[in-house]
Amino acid sequence: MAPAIVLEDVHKRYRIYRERYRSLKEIVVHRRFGDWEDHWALRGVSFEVEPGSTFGLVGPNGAGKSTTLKLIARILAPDRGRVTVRGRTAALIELGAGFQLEYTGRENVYLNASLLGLSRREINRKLGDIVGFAELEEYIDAPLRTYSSGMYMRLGFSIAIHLDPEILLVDEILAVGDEAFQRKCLEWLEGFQRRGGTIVMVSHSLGTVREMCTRAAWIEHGDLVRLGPPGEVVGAYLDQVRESRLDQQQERRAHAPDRPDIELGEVRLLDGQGRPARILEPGEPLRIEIPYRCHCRVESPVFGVMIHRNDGVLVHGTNTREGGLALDSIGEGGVICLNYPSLPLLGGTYLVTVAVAPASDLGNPIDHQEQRYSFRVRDHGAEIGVVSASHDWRLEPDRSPHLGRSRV
Amino acid sequence: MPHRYYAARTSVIEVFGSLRLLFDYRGLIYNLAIRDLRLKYKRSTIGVAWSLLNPLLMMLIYTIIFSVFLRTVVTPGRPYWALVLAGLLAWLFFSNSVGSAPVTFVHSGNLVARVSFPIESLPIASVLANFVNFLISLAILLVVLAAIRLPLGPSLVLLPVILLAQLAFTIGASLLVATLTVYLRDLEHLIGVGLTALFYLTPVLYPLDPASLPRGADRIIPYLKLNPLAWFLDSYHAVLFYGVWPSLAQFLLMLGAAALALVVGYLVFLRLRTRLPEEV
Repeated sequence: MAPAIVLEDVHKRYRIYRERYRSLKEIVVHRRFGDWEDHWALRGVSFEVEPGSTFGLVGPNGAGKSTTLKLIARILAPDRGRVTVRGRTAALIELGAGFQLEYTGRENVYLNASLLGLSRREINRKLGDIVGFAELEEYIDAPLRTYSSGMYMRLGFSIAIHLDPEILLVDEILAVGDEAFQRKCLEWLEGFQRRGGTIVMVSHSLGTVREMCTRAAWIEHGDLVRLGPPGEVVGAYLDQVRESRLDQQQERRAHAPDRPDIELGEVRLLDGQGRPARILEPGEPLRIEIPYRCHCRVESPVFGVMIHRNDGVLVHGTNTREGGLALDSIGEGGVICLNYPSLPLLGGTYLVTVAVAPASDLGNPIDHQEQRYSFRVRDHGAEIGVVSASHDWRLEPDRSPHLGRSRV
Repeated sequence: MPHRYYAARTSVIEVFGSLRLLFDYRGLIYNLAIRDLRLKYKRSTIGVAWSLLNPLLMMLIYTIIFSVFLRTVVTPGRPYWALVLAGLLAWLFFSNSVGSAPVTFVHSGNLVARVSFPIESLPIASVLANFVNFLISLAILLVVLAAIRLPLGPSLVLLPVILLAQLAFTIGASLLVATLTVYLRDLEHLIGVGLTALFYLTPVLYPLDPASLPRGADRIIPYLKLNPLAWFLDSYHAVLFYGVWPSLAQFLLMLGAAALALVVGYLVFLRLRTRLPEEV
């Protein structure tokens, strides 16, 4: 079968204006439209997307992923090369772009759906489904300015998926509405995949790309770096990200004006038996050992530890001063230990940051290692969230007879 | 299965592809035109009546000035105000459309930059909304002309052709102006000034007939006839006021101008469209 999407040597250039002339006088005086610099957002990108497949685009911010998506959506036109798209396309890129706040939800459905290419008759037929999926039956005749941002996005999403697309373009899926609605959207997407729909998605969540995609492309600085099975592409991309991050840290260290007064060594994460803690059970003990060397005398330094989950949630942070460990003089070297007798975390990957700072200025560490160490907690699926809070459930007899009957 | 290209250069295939796409989006053009009409009248208490009252007031003023005070235009046997009204309605359609064209892309920047649709729908829908206004007032004018028994001839059958030609001409001009304004913002003001000058240079308030004009006018008339808009207005006057057939040569010129404007406007738009979403 012919590919659903073909990009052939696609180039896209943006003009970054230092100065722009828009009045006749300026244009006559300067004999040009402005003073700009060309920025090539894409330089000769070629790939094909098979019908029925899910294609993921990964890469750092500003790499050209969204530009690629906008070219496929035909919002932008290439400066060189060609983009061919076979099939009805819906873009979940700018949900609700073009909504009119003064119009009711219903009027906006008509205007927006016709912007996206539906005829009036098709909209008449689908109006019920669109409103039903967005769960907005009660509000559909209220002006849009009375909608919450969640309702706004829900309506935009619902209109887009009711275009009966064969190709779906998705940018950073689904920050739409509450969790229940997000799940509904994901289910819809999975159904769309099963029905043979083609998806092109941009995501920073590499896990999503690995799970959902059948192929992936890594784009960086407007170049296609790698194309292939998602596991391979994501793996290669991650390796490079990790390397460049370590490079940066090393470079920073090498370029530091002089070595820090207190230098932190290689931190050890240990489990209850004193073995390196890579995978823990919820509630297991954890011991963090921070070796250090002092190169000159520092008055009462403070050591700190932070634990983040890998999606950025700060799970726990503490320091020696809050913990009541006074370090008036710490000698030439030693090991600072932080003991968690039981770490009540649920399944996930966690990153450890360590730092040492002068007591007078905690925000300005003498030395630190940011999220350099990680451990995993096994997921048992019984509870959800971050903490494994101890709890019990029980059924008790009703002790307040009025409660059941009272009316609000 | 629709098969659409988007390539860096404008090719013949792309012109036809774009036209077909535009046709697929006719529902959108309809919705946008309705939106334009509704926004125009939603907040005013007497609504649609404004679009009729405005030319009526202008007609009254021009009639008083040119046929009572100045007595410059004489139209024996026919009321001067009817000539003014026929000309004004056609002129207002053109000038309202082209006058609002500069902002059609610029004011819808969020749509143009963020949604994929044939953006030429915006100026086209705006012209169509004005056209609907024009048709309503024209229908009323025809009723009034019938009521005062102004003798009109069989040339009235040409009216739909003239209307369609002017529609094509106006769409072409509006598309051109809307596109160029994205690159040249002060076109908005230039167009305003230009339209005021053009109003007097076009036979709106007077016919291109030396017999109706003061002496000496016949030396200027050949120059006035170089203006394509004069061909349209002269045709309206012939059909709606004098009840005669417009001259064949001029009628053909008018049709040619309409086709040319449409083609040039659309091609310039296609040529410059590539950067529009980034520049608005």
